Amino acid sequence: MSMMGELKFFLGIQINQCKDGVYVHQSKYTKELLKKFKLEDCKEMNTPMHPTCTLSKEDQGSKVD
Amino acid sequence: MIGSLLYLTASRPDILFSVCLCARFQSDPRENHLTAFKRIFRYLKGTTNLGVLYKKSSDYKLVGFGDADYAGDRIERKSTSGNCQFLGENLISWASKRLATIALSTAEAEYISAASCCTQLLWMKHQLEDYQITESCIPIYCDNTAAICLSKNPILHSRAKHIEIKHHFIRDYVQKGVLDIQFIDTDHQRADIFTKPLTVERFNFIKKNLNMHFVSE
Repeated sequence: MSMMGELKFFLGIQINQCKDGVYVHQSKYTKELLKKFKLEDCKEMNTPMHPTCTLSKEDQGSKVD
Repeated sequence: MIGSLLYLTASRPDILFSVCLCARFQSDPRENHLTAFKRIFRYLKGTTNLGVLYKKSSDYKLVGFGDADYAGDRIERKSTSGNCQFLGENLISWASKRLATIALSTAEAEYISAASCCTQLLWMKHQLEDYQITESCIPIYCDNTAAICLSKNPILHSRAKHIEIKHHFIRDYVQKGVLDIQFIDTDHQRADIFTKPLTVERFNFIKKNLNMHFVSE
């Protein structure tokens, strides 16, 4: 590894080595995903799911696939 | 859509539960499921550069957290178990899983969850031995006293006798002194984030405890 310099990018996972520790993140991948699904301009949310969200199989509604 | 999010969970424990929940509806997705998928993306939009921080330290103490959400699944009434493991203060492993069997009580769900946390910890213990780090009395934090009692001696027999043998192997390790199940109050239970959707304050609090920080570019 040392021959190739500092490890920055591995299997789509970015690695930032700084003074306070090592950060492991996938911001580039996340941005690409948002672009791929054309959701770059959507509104931001604080949590990934509503606290009272219940999904079930029998739900009515049109098929989306 | 879900597959690409599953890969993202490699560095994002915060979305693990919601992605896993959505993944259960992949075979027949409906409109309201799609709305839920989109919400995950909207959350990601605001937190693109969130990552896990690994601090430098010479503290090699394994700690496990195991939690369960009783009958969280609306259709089959199965419980969800979530657990995470820390080495020192760094988060090294996390999991969220809907249990294969239906638990009859909260204690049973928590007990099964602690058992699955235990298997992961034992594997890590063996891995660490290769580096001449021997662990003993690894603490597993559980927020259910009944489940802790169940792991120490076979009480509550009428209510607990149906629990499958495979979940009882944790009892053996507790007796040998390899593991130590300890109580933690629900507020400080870090595995909570892997079992149910949370409110903003609680969600951000656990995220901070899991060492998740924004990375400056």
